Amino acid sequence: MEKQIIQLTVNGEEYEAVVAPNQTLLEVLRDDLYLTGTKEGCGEGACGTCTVLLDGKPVRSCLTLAVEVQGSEITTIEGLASMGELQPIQRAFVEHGAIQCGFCAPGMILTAKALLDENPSPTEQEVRQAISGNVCRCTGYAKIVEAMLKAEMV
Amino acid sequence: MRLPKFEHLQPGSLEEALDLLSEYGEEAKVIAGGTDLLVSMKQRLLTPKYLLNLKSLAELDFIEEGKEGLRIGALTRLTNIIKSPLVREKFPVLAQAASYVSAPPLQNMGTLGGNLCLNTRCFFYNQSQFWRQARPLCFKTGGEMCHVVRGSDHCYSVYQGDLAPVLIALEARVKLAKKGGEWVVPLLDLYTGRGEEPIALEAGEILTEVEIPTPTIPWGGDYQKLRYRGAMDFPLVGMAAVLSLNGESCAGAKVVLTAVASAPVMVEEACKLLEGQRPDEEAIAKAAEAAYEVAHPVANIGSTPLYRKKMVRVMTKRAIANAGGRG
Repeated sequence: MEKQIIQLTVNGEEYEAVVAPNQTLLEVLRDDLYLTGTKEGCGEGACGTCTVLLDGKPVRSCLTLAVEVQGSEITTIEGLASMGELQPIQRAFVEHGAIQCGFCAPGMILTAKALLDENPSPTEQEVRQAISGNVCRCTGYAKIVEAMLKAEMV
Repeated sequence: MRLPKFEHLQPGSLEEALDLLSEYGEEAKVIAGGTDLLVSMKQRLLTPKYLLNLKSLAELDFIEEGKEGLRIGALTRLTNIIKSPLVREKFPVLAQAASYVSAPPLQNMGTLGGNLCLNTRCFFYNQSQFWRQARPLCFKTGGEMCHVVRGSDHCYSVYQGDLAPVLIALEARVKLAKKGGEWVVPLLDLYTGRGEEPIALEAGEILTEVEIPTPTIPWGGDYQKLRYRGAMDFPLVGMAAVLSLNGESCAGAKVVLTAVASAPVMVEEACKLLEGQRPDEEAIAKAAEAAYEVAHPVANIGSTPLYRKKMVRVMTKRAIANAGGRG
């Protein structure tokens, strides 16, 4: 199993990593780049906590091979806040009580960002559809949807 | 969960991919979206020595209108099918079914070809290695028994793809390729009906393209999916109906079930019953009864076989009524 060197841009910074073919993007982000904001939940693509933005689109990092993201641009939850200032969606999540235990929050917020980047004023139905692949085990969906609907106005 | 070890092969073209596949044969698996394959590998259901990555083959990622109909490359992401103005205009029922597959982040990854070549599923198969080792091997894992239907002589795992029934109802054909040749078969022939080996692809062969012929007369289609949640879940019952309409009456009908057997099921009897009829309540009820008769779900995915069988009738009625109304 030959390791290979990949270049990738994470949150605007360029990284080089030596990865084995069977390493997932999630493992590289957490174990090699120490970006532990991205969580591993089920590891099977069902729960959505490992969601990251790959070239602007939400994908499951637990089902993405690290060798495939060579040259891609990745956004993780660490890439949103800048200079200690929360990104509007993050602030909306905090202000509307959409963060309880916080485990689903990175995936939820990134999925929200992808939706709002494409569609700045979504309907409630569109919001629910967008986060339909993200599980919140505190079951605080109402607050999350509320935060996403309000985030557009910030 | 960690992936087992494998060598990663990155072909630069389809030709190179087919060369590599013919060289490595059974030892290689192709990966497109990876949303199903990597899960199976994490569960050690599949441990290929080589993983041949098709993701970078742009030549298989297209949606084009040809003389005979619509051609969609096997590597087209489901999101692109859902959003394609061409698909939405020509075959809205396909975009509808694609939007029911899993959830948006997985639609960004999953491909048309991967969805069609989905392996069959079963409660006793789609489990971690740790979970499975508590039981003897079943037909699907190379053993000599079925944990679901005791005493049976074959595997009952269920084909749960959402796109296959719709595309079969639209009379789609698929282009298959191996080193030195390519050929076209009706999509229905891609499915063997055998739970152990559900997809009729030999080692070294891949699906490259789907062709959907343009219907010559007005038609309407619908796909109904029964599942627990509004997203993520595979269908417990899926029903695709496509009706060709000649004024008020139905000139031809294709009624295809999914998630009740090891392959999509074309309900021939229902198609015959609808032909030449006005799709009114009575005709629809008869067709639904025919679908009910051929569905034989067993207790190997969610819900109960009895409920799923009853819902076949309901889903068939809804699908045909909607398809008729859309023509």
